[in-house]
Amino acid sequence: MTSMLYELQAALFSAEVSRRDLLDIPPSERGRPVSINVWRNHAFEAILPLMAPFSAIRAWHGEFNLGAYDDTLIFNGWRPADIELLWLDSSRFALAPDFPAWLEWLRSRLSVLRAMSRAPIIVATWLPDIAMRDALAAMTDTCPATYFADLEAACTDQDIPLVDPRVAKISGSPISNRAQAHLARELACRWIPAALFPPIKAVALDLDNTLHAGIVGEDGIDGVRLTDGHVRLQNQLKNLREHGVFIALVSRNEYRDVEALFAQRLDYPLRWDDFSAIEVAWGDKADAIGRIAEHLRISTDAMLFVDDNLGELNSVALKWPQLHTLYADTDADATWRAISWWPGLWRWKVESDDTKRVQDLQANRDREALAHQTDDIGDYFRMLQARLTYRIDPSDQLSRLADLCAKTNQFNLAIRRLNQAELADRFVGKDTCVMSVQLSDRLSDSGVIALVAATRKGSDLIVEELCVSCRAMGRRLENDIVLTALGNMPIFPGCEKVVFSVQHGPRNKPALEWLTQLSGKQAAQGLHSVPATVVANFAPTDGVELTIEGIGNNEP
Amino acid sequence: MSRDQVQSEILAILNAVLKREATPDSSRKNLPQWDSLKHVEIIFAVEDAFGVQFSEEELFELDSVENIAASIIAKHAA
Repeated sequence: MTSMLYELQAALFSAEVSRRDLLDIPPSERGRPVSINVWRNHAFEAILPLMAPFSAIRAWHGEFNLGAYDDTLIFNGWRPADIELLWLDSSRFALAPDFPAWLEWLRSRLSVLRAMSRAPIIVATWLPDIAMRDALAAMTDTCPATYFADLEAACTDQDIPLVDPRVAKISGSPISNRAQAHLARELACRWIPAALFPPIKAVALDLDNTLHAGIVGEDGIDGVRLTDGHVRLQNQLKNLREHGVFIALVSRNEYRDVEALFAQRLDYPLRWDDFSAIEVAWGDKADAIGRIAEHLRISTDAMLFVDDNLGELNSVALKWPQLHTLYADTDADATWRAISWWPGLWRWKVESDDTKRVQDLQANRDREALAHQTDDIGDYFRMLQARLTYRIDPSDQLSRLADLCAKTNQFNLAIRRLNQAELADRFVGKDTCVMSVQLSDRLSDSGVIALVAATRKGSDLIVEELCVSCRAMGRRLENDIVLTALGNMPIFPGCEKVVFSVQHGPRNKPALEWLTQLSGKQAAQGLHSVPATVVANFAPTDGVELTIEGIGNNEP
Repeated sequence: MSRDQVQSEILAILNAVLKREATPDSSRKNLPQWDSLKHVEIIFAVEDAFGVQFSEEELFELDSVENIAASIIAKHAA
């Protein structure tokens, strides 16, 4: 499939996708099925087959449960699904006379759906003016795991007319042909993956004929060409970095040549320091990708590798089958389009903590240097001015905490992947608690780096979800993060056992090893208990400042 | 573009949309899979393939391979 995907890139990621081109792509039902309930008042059928070639990129296929046309949204025929999609023609509603009343009605219908379903809800519609769109976006922001897909804005960005007055009578939907193809790509490459799948955290790029035209080892530093397309590509990559996506360089070249290139070619928007990881050598690129993943503390399935050499792409994909790989076109604009449409890279919302990721990694070098100055861990943390802040049921961090559940792979004990709706339930539950942990020191503010969600059952504290971000791993604070969080939960006092829910995943070895070390027995799949005294008697690490916020603040 | 080429492309579109082998004689009357929802997909794909746009009236009239081919040839000739 990977080789086939390279051949299909031109059609899938063209500036404007064509229904006719998509029809020529053989259907694929490969990969994970994703069940999608479609609640609609206009036709969705013509979009459905157009999504399949895009969903195949990330190895999933949609299994659709299409509701009957229903302007009242009674959700008749609901069944459990991975995604709830509201596909609404807003022109069928009388919005103008009292838009706030319509918005309130829609909110009440979303509440009804939320009571039935914990799945992410996507409200896909369009509205006559910007004020209405902003109001709908603001309303959905207040509903957990609910997103507004603005069809009008999505089409306007691409200069595509959303509505075609000719077709409403015959097709059951006013959406134009061009818009249907475009929206199919938005749904399958951006909106659904961003609501459902772990995101891409890093883009690793080859240099020659990818970030510029030509080969630096043959054409020389002044001989390689930076086309207008390459300038745009590099600027967009820089922008991605500012939004918290790591950019890495992986190139077969002489290190000193490439370093000199970035020092001398001041016309390159990307600078040497913009790369969070650099692997320039004549060795195996697959090994280099492994080292980059290790350095960035991410798994290879959270990385997109871009190269103009199909042989390199294939050999790297052979070693890392979960790695995302993309062929770099000679047209750099085409390369950028493919990157920008790659499922998992687009986000519904960029959290402020996302943008801290790149800066935080850079600070690690300084932390390591500091660690060499003293053997006393207390002195080390005091020099660092390390601070952990714990917050109980922090509703204002809901989006970030759901992100952590979705993104954390390595230090994730239960891999429940609780979404916003499920976390919000635990904020207000009498016997449940969610604790967030923020980490900062004088070198960087890492933001919210961990969450622990637990339920009290009799004398047991059941830990349902435990995620520590990779940016906090290796900082020798795992016990402080987890045990202090558990010990300060309002539902902890009186517990006799702390029972960890454990799932063995493909990449959560660090979390399993931590639990094995804590309990002194192998962290087997299922429930794994330790005496509550382990938590109650835990002495925090010397030199770390701890702050607990929000005790008794368990409000809806 | 010759009539045969036009017809061949229309048949390729019908086969892809309907997942059935269509023939030059195929029409909405003799191909039950060619329902109103599939009709829209077919017409949209035809518009993409030939770079044409049909009027609202034509959308209803293009109910066979022959009619679609005739309409495209007429538009290209105009």
